[in-house]
Amino acid sequence: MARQNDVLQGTLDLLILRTLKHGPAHGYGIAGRIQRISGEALRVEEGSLYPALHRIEQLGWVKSEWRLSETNRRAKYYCLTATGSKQLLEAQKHWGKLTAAVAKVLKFA
Amino acid sequence: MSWVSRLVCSLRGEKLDRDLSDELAFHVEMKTRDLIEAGLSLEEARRQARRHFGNLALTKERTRDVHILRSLDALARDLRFSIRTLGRSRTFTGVAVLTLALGLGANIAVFSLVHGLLVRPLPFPDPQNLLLLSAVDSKGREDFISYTDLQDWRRQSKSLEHFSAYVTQSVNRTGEREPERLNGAFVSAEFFELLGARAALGRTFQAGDDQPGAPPVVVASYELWQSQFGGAADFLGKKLILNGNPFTVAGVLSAEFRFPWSDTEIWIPYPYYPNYRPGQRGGANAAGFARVRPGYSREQAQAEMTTIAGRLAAQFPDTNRDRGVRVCPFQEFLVRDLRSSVLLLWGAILFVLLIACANVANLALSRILSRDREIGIRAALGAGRSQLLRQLLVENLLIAFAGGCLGLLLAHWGTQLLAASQAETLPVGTRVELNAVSAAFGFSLALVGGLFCGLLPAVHVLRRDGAGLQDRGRNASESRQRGFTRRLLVVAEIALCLVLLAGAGLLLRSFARLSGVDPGFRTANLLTLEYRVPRNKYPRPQQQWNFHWLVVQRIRELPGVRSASAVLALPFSGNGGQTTFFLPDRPEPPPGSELRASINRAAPGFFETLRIPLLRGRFIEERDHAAAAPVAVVSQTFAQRYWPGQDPIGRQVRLPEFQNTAVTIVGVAGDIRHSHLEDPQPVQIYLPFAQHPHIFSTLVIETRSDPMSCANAVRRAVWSVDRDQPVWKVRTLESLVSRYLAWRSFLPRLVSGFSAFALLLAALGVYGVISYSTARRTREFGLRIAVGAQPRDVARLVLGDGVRMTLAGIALGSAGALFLTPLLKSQLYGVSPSDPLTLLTVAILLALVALLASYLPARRALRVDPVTALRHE
Repeated sequence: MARQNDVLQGTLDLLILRTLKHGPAHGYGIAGRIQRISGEALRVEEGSLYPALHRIEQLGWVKSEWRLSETNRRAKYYCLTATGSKQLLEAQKHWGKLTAAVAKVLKFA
Repeated sequence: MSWVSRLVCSLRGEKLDRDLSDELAFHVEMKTRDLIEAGLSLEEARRQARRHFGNLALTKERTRDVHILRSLDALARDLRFSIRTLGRSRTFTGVAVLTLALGLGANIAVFSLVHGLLVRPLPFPDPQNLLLLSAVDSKGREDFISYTDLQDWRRQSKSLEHFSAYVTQSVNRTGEREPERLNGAFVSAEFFELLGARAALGRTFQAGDDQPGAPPVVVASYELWQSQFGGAADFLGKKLILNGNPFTVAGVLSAEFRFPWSDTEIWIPYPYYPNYRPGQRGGANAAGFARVRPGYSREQAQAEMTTIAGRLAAQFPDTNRDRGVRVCPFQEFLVRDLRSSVLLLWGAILFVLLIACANVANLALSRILSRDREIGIRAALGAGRSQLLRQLLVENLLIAFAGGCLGLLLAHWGTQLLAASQAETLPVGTRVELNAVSAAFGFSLALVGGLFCGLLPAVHVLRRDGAGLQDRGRNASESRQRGFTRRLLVVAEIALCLVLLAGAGLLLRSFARLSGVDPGFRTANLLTLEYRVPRNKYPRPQQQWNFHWLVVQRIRELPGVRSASAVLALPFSGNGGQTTFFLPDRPEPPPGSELRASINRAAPGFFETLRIPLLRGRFIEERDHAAAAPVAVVSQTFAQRYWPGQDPIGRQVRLPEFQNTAVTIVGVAGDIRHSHLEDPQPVQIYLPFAQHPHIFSTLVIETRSDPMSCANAVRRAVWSVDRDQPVWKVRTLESLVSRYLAWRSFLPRLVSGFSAFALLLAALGVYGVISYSTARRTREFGLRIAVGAQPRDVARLVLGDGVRMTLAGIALGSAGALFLTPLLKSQLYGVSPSDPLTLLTVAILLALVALLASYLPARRALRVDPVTALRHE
């Protein structure tokens, strides 16, 4: 069984990747989107968001680029790579299996 | 992001930091904006945004850590993996590490020598402005300076300061139970100040200590104070009787000051030097120093000194005519003789390292080839090319690092060995030791070596196309390519080895020639010793001669002695002198090109004791005493050069430095080598000791048995004439010549050692390549035998491979040798750098060794069983 930390980390990665499927965004935008779409249920701590973003950038799942934001300021935009899309599919499948397994255990344990 | 950009990232940490700050600042700003839109004031919005964000610094740190952790993580993984794989193939690791360690260790040791000798500054303050002053004649020959001249220079020079002179000589110390001899140095007052010497007790010399009428003081060495006077505090102010004069000890020098020799024990003001006469300008025998004054350059100093010398030459034409002055940085002067041989040594050892690296590279390449399957599997499992390369690099660097550490250990011993064996030849103050610089050098070399050795396997990994498992042996063209690289490496190794062997061969041959040179006198069963009588006890020359002759006669009466005599300067003792002379029977040469010859003074029996042959006339005899006609004996070369085909007996030679006496030649003696065995033209003049006495004398005694067994008897014989006369350097003449040869054998021995090691490495390289290719071609050989080839033919195939490589290597190496060996010219005696016999011999030696190395795997090929070979699929 994966460690608590890894599950959380993996979950955050999944959320970020899914968010970016809509299109490129900067860190603030990603956090906002997750918050909005989850109906304010999920609030991503900035202290976790940015390390995660940099980590998955190193893994090659996203790539970054400095652009002018909508407010005419310089911001770092992230977008999904091909590897990232593949990884997203994998992670979604894995998430599905995980939740199904947890549900089973809760029902019958 | 590939690992390359990650590496770049961690290197460009600054940019990363700035970007990160910008990114986080943007986030805070956006948050503030939203809060303002929600209705808060500017400051309130900002404060909340900040607080909401939490600890900005912590976030920054955690994000930064992501980058570092990834790289470190990957590195740690690679290290663990590399250690595991290297541990599995212990033979490869062991051989590679050992080979590199030997090559690196030797290089580090020689580098320490080069660094300590040529690079590291002298242990004096401001060493680059410390200049040696020497007198030069119109031909540029260097000579010692005269103390009187030095005083004029001091008065007249503006660009130099702290003019000092020194000369070393043994000093007689009496007043104790036994007379003893101390290693003395006679120095001027500013000497210690010039060299920055400090006193451990009392003081060093100060201005005025060398003036006439000053109280006689001396300064002792730390070593002398501790060993002979027990480090007692009352040493200061103690009265010592040196050369018959009383001196007071003014101070003791600090322990690390060792100049001019590491065993100098006592420093005395220059005017007390026995060969010094105040106001005398001729007979220069001091070494001179000065320091460049701040604000002046060395060139200015040289120009000024030349002017001053010219002025003195005009003022004192008898003594100073054509005596210029040359200034030279002291460090340069000290290492002048050694520089070329040390650099040669370094070149040789670099060659060895190259060969070692080639060997390890070959080993690494063959290992990679054998790990083909493993790499293929890893690639299939998703390892990118960069990952494989990185792991390969880590592996090779690990080997290089291990080799470097072991090499450092070997270098530690090697350096100690070098320093100890060369203690006498190296200038004083040279420290040959393993220090931070040599360690840094060693590790840089290891790094470069590791990268080089990993280069070929890396290229191989890069060339693999696709992640598919490579089918072993099927792809013929690719294996041929790989084989070519390996063979090329071996050819290079053989070439390098040949150059090294050629150098060693030439040096050995030259040394053999040198050892075979007949010095011109006998060396067996000859005891020698030296002494100097104090001038104040024996002021008149006649008294000095009487003393020496009485000593000789007493020694002749000893039972173990066959014959004995005395001479001023013994061959190979380091003593000796030169003089100008004129031949009255022909026109005088123009000033500046006077004739010069070695000059010596011999007592009756000298030539006979040393078995120097008499070629014409007679030797010096007892009838050549002070009141008799002035005569001389000359060497054969002297006679042949100036009176070719004629009889020189009865001719005259005028000696301006000996009261301008005209001596008559009474005999011609065989040539002897006086200071170097390579001395090509010994032009020598011998004067009767009785007619030209001196306070110094060297006794030569032929003994019936072992010379040293008579040493005590001889000492007592001297003391029977004067109880207070110390003698020193009691040794055999044979040991002097051997010592000279040993000194000259250092370079040949080392280079030969290196070449032997290189030969071994090259042989291993050949063996490795041939046996590997034989193993891979087992199936092919099986096929050939199965279709009717004889085992002999298969063996010939294998051997042919080795022969081709060897021939190519030898051809390449011969070209290289012919190009490089002229560098050895200064070290060779009697052998030309392009000596064909030596080159041929080493080429044959190398060929035989290489062929043997290919023969052994060839034998294995002979035993290939076709059935098993074919089944080897």
